[in-house]
Amino acid sequence: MVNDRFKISPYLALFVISTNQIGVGVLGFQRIIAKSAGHDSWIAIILAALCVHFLLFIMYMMLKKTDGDIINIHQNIFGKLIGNFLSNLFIVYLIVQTILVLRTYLEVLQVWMFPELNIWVFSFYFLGLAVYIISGGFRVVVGICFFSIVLPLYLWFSAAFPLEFSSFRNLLPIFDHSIKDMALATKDMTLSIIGFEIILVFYPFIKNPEKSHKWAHFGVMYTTLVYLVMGVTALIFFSPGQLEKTIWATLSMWKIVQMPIVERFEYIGIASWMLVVLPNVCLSLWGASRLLKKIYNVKQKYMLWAIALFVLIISGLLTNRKEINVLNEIYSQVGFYFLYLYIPFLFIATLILYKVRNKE
Amino acid sequence: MKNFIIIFAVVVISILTFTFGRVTKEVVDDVNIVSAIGIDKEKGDKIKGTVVMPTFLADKSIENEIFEGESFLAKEVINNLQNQSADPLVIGGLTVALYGEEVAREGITEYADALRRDASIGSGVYLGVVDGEAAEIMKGSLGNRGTGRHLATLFEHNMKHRDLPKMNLHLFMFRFYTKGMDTFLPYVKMVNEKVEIKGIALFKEEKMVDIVNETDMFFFKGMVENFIEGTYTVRIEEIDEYASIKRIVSKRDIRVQEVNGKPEVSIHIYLQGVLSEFSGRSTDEKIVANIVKGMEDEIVKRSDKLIKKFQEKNIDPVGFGYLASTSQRNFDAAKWKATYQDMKINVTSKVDLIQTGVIE
Repeated sequence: MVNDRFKISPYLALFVISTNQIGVGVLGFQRIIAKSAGHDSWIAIILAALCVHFLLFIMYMMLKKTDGDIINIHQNIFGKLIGNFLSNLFIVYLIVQTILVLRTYLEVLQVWMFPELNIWVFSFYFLGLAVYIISGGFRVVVGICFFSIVLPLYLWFSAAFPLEFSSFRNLLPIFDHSIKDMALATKDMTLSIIGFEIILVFYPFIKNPEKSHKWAHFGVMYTTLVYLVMGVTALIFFSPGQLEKTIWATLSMWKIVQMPIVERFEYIGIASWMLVVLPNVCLSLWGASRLLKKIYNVKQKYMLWAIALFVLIISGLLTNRKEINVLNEIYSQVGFYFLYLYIPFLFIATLILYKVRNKE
Repeated sequence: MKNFIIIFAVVVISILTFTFGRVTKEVVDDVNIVSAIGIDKEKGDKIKGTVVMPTFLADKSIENEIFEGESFLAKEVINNLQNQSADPLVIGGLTVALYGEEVAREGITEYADALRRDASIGSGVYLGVVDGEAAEIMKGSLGNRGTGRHLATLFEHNMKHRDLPKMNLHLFMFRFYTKGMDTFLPYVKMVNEKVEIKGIALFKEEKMVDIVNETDMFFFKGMVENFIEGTYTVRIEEIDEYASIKRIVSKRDIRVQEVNGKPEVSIHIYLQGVLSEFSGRSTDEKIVANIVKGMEDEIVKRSDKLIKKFQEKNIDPVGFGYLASTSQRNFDAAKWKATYQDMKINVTSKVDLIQTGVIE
C-alpha cells in the first residue's frame, strides 16, 4: 500500500492525464491525420477523443475493482509469473515512450533552433533534471505536471495570429470523406492522444481515487480542446497541398506571428515546449521505475538511474530522421493495439474474474 | 575517496560539456542581417542574387550594404556571398524578396520554396516581381530606414490601406497549392529613384503570364478579397464630372450554379464607400444617385473585362474553382478545368454611398 504521505489530491489527475497526452505530437499531428481525412480530419480528433473517454472509463472500472495498479490487474488475471512478464512489457513500452518524446523534441530543437546541438550533452542534462525531479517523489512530478499546463497557457493566444490569413472555406464541404477514411484518421490520431494509460500506474497514488474519475475525464477534454484548436487552425491556414508538405504545422503557423519586440515567435514556442515535454519524460521514467520496484522489490532510485542511462544511450544512438520515424511507427502501432485491443480484453477478463469470485 | 570521485566526475562532465555542448553564437551586433534579396536571371541556368542589409552608423543614420553573387540555387547565393562579407551573413531577418520579370516568367516556386524550407525565415516575407532587374532596386538606396525596411513598409501600407491585395510568402504558397486558384504577386518598377507599384503579376501554376495594370487593381482587389480600403476616381458621363470614391467595406459573393449541365458563376460585388472628392458644385440626391450608378457600372465593366482576360489566359486568380469545389460535393475538377475558359461568369454590383463628407 502507498503511504498517504505520497498521495495526491483527486483533482490533480486532470493535470497528470492531460500533460502526459499533450507532448511533441501537438507540433505536427495535423499533417498525419489530414493524409486520410483531408479537411474533415477535425472530426477524427473528436472521434479519437470519444474513444479515449471510453477507454479511460473502462480503465477506471478495472482499477476500481482491483484497487491497485496494472501489476495487480495482471497478477489477478494471469497469475504471478505471466502477469509479471506482461507488466515488464508495459515497462518497455513506457521506456520507449520516454526515448521517443525526448528524441522528437531534440529533433525539433535541431531543425528549428540549433542544428549543431549535441544530442548527448542535451539529453544528459535533460535526463539529469528529470531524475532530480523524480527523486523528490511522485508529488513533485505532479507539481511539474501542473506547471506544464498552467505556465504555457499564453501559447493559446498564438492561435489567433494565423486567423488573419485563414480561409474558413477550407473546411467545406463537411463530411466529404468516407467512413473508412475517418477511421484511418482516427487511428492516426493514436500517437497524439496516447499517454492517458499512465493512470494504470499512478492510480494507487490518488487519495480517494474514485473521486478522481471525473477529473481525469476533464483532463482528456482539455487535451481534446488543444488538439481541436490547433487542428482546425492548421486546416484553415494551410491549403491541403501545403499542409501535406509541412512537417510541424503548429510551428510553421507560429512563423506568421509578428510582434513589435519578437521577430520570430516559434523560438518562444519551442523553448516553452520544453516545459510541456519535461513532465512527459518524468512521468514515463517514474512509471517505469516504480513498476520495476514493485515487481522486483529493488530500490526505485537505482532502477531510475539505470533506465535514465539506457534512455540516454539509445537517444544518443538514434542519429537520423528515418530511425526516429521507424521507432515512432512501431510505437504507435503497439500503442494502438495496446489501447484498442488489449485494454478492452483486460477489462472483460477482470469483469469475468470478479463475477466468478463473487459467486464462490 | 567518495569526495574525490564526485569532484573528478564533475570536472570530467564540465570539460565534456564545454567541448561538445556548444552551439554557435549569433550576436546581433556581430552578424549582417540580410533584409532584402533580389533574384535575377544570368546566362544559362545561373541566377544572380543581390542582397541588401542595413548598417547602422554612429550618427544613427542607416546605410545600405549591398552584395552581389551568382549561383544555381537561391539560398546558395547567400553562402557564396559569405566570402565578401566581414561578418557572417544571416537570413533570419529577411522581409522582402523580389524577382526579376525574366525569372518570374520561368517560374519562381523553386526560389520561394528555398525561403519556406528555411526554419529561420518567417512566412510573412513580402514577395514581388520587378519590371526589369531586381538588382536595380536593391542597389538603389531607398528611404532613410534601409532598402529592406522601406520596401516592406511600402508593401504593408499598400496592402492595408490601398489597392494592393494582401500577399506574402504564406499566401503565395497557399494559393499555389490550392486547387482551383492561381497565385499573384505585386508588380513593381523603379521610376526616378523610387519604387512604384505598377500592378499585379498574374501567375499560372508557377509561371508569370500576365499583368493587371494599376487602374484595374481597385477592381482586382474587390474580387479577390473582402473588407478593404482603397480609392477610385470614376467619370460620371451624364454630368461630365469626376468623383473619387473611398471604399470602406467591400464584399464579394460568388455563387456557382449548374445550368443545363454547365457550371455558371455569378459574382456580386458590394461596395460601401464615402465620397472623398467631387469636381462638381453640389452633391444633391440626384447627383449622388448618378455617382452611385456610374460607380456600379464601372465595377461591372472593369471586373468583367478582367475576368474575360483571366479566362483567355486560363488562369483563376479569383479562385472560382476553389469556391466551386468547396460549395459542391463530388466536385469534378477535370470538368471544371475543361469548361473554365468559356464559362459564363456574370458580374453584378451594388454601391452604397454612406456619406458625402462634411460639406454638402
